[in-house]
Amino acid sequence: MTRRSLALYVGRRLVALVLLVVVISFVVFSLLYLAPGSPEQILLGARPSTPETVAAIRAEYHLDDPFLVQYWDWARDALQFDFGRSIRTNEPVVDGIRERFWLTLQLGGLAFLITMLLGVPLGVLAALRRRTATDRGVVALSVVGVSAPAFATGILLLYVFAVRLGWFPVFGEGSGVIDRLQHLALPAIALALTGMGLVLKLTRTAVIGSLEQDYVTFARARGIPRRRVLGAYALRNGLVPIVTAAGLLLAYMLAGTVLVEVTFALPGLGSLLVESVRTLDIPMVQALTILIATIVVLVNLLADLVYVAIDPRISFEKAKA
Amino acid sequence: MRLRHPRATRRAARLCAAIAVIVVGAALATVGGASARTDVRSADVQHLTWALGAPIRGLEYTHSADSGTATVVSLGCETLVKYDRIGRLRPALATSFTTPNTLTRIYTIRKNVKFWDGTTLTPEDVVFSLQRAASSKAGSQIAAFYTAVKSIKVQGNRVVIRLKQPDPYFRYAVAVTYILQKKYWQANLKDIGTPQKLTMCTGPHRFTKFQGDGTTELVAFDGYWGGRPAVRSITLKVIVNEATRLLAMRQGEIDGSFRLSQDVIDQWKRLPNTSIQLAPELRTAYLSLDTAVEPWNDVHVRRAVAYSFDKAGLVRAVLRGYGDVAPTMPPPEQWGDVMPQPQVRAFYRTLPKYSYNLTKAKAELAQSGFPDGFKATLPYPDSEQTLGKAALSLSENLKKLGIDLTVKEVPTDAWFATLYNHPSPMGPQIISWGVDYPDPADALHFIYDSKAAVKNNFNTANYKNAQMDRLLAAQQNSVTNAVRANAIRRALRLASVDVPYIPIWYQDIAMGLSTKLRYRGWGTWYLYQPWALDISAR
Amino acid sequence: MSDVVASSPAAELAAPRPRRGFSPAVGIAFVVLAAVVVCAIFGPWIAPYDPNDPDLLASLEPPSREHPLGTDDLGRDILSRTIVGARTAIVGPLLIAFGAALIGNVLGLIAGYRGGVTDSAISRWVDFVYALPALLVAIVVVGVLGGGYFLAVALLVVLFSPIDTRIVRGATLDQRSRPYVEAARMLGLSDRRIMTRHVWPNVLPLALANAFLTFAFAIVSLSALSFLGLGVGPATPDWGRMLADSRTLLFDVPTAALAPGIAIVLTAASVNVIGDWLYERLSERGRAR
Repeated sequence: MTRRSLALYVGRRLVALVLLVVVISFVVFSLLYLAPGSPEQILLGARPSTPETVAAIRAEYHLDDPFLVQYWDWARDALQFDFGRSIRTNEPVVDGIRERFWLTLQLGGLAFLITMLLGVPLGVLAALRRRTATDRGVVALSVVGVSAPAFATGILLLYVFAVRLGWFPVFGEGSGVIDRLQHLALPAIALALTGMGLVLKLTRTAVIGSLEQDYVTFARARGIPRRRVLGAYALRNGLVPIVTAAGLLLAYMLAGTVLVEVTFALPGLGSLLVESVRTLDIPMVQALTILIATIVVLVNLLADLVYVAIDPRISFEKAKA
Repeated sequence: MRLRHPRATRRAARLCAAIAVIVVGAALATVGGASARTDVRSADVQHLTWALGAPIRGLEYTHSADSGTATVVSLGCETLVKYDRIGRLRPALATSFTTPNTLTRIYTIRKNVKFWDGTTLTPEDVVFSLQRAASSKAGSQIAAFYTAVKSIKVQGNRVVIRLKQPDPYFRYAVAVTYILQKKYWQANLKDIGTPQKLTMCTGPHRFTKFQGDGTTELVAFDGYWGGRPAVRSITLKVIVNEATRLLAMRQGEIDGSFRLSQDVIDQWKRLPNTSIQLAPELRTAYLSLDTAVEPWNDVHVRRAVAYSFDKAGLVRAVLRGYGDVAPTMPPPEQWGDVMPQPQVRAFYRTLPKYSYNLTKAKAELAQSGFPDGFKATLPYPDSEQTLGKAALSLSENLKKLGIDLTVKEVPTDAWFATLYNHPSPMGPQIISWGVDYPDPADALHFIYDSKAAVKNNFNTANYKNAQMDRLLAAQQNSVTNAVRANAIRRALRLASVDVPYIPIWYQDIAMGLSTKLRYRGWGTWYLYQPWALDISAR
Repeated sequence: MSDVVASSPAAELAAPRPRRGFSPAVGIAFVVLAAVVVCAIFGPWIAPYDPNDPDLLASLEPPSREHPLGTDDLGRDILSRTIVGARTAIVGPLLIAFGAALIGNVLGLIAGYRGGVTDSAISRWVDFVYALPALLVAIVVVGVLGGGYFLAVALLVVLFSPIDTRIVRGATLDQRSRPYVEAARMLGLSDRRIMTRHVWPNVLPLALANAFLTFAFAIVSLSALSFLGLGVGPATPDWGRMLADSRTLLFDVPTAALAPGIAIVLTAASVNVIGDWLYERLSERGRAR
């Protein structure tokens, strides 16, 4: 793709991001509206209440307004970046998210690094030793990480490394760089395990595919050393699936982060989202969804751009007939 | 009455975190560097790290009225009166309270009580706090306790509360209403109790940081009217996962926790650095049968189900013995001073027992209009797995009677919504109910009163019995213990015969505490008072 | 002209591979899978006890002669529950893996090959599903449509399909620019033919590798939904459910967690190993033609 068409492409994607945000905010708002229960019932908890209290709370959050009016009220404020106050905790939504954002980012980032630094080399190893016990074993181990739920692997890690060996603290997020790293090590490993299978298997498949190409045979026939063939040819041409896998780690992490946060007592965005959904905390759910949608789009866009960087032949333009 | 709310339990993918490991190191460091503090006392606890089993919503109780919030707020905020270990009311911010007639209560406010900012507590602060608690318009979740109140006024250094009609439970409302500084509350009406604004109270510890799903921190307030607190600073951490909480205790990363789940109590007991204390939680699990529809409108059907419940087995297996079979709704300790405990227990022994007996169950069913059985569905909330297990056990037993009871799990908030919306038919429900105050009539009004068989109230059995209503009114309109006890006894006996609800078990509550600490006088009502005052170093 | 497929005799770069029979790992995987299938089909007849029959007097017993894996807190035999639980560990996850792969392959191929607006539309759909809070969707689905097992399966098919779509799309983009595709186009072959008969076989290994992973992930995802009323009911034995329920039993009766946990892990790993092996055998045979 030419530089210009690439710039246009990025521009179009960003416009699409805005559209996506609008659409998804409407859809999620509707889902919250359709969900059984309503915020005041959840706020009142398990107490019998007087009709006046119910009415007062409903009035405060405009819950009796028609659906579209409620949505528009929210949207109008959101357009000015005022995401309102959490119904559940009363604090400004933005403050609530900001406090937890960095922790989740650090946890996710660390897990991402671990997954890539372990998954790719192991995938290459499995490809080189394909069909041997090493291959089967490595694949099987990576699948363990995917199939075992994060709370199980989390507790196992805790028991072995935090309790028996005492190398890490049991819970919490710590403060200060070294302390934070120590606290996030085990949770990051638990989270990394869920995505490891994907990276490993896709790397393995990609490298196997590359190794079977004609150019590899020719390169070997010309006497190019094995390592160079592997690095410069086989791996490089198998990079696209690896990049895809890296981008998809986000999906696995989004799913796994809640379980890890609960197991290791980390106040992160995952648990915030779950708790907000359960309590029908409309402003918070809306804001979190927009945040997640933005991250998703940016990650996918980044992955697509990396495709082009790896292989300039790739183009997103319409296929010429 | 208060149903078990998911925020007060640990189930569900649920959240939050906290700091704390440096605690031990910092604690040692602070003690070591005692040069800054010349008055370090031997019973002092430099730093208390406590685990909470569930996140809390805010520091302002009237907008977040659940047991988890009370536990945290009580560390720093106080009430006019407080509960002692067995639920009797004692002076707190009020030095005395009198009732010149059944419609008036007078509280004398303690002098020279300081707020954290140094200002003095005045009756105006008290009146403002009580009025906020009483106001539905302000969205107070405990406004229902104040429905009988006509006026709340200052009279010198006293607060006078006038009621519209006699209300034997009103005195307890005041025990759960926290007194905040009027100026601070008015200045922060919108966001009092949030992490940004915290709160302003008179208690022995001052909030310095609040994070509902993470870490909350308090420091000792040496200007406290009750004297210098022995616990110098507190860190609260939310750890929802039971296994993590156990491991944290094992590693000494926390000093203790309340409300351990039944199935981990034995494991906590095995920890060498931990001691366990138990108290009745005053929480009853019960089955509600919708008497407005078939087949539940047939008393023989209801009795057949009652006989099919292996309550003793469930207490042993599901509660691990940390509870008791419930012959009736109010736990015996809830009778407070209405009737002495020995008499209460003697009375309970006289009630029909419905012990697990499938032969009797079959006999009852044979007498009913459905001798060959029927189909029904029993939902339970996913935050209460113990209720689910009870339901499954019952379902398997009922199969032998030809009754097909399908047990369904539903998301907790959807389940609450159903209870609130009171649809028709309501069908059978299985519920766990926590006591609000030490008076046996607490639940009676809300589940047996025919007026409560409507939306936003909890007569989920749609039980409408004129005699029951008369008995409930009789005990409500009297403030004489003997009269009330008599009416309540008759009401409970009627309930045992009619069985619109089948009480299953009473639960115990457990606290785990580091062996380095001592906690004097812990009991059921710990959560409504500054409980850190009872903790000291061994 | 015969189909042009980009392939070549397998390069001998890799370390020596055993050529006869299959490696022990594959053998073990077959045995495990066979056992699981037998349990899934004949479970209720093989199980020594009724998996749902509570025996409150026998609660939390450690492994013994009567109960080789012990009992859970309701006194139900863990071995029986593990055997019968195989049923929900196979059918649902297989359907989910297959369904998500079906949607993902179709959408991914079209998006990667056609490019332009089609790609944009499909990619936006992927972003949308990705960003939706799954819990909220599940709660609303339960609230509006009621619960149920196949509803849960359908929901997860939809929620997992973006992953397959992205993988196939990426691989298709990769292939689209290769000479053989250009050659096929110049020959006047239709888009559909090029996509299905030329591009897709090269994309297939990646799609399959992921499909078996989806199977692994789906086993536990289904049980996560069961707490909301989707998926299996609380009475039905299910490995994921048993594992979640036994979280606190870990120190009392470890087998309550170990049995379902190991069962899940072994099944998922075996499916993946067999899947890889099967694909390799099939593609070898095809290539030898």
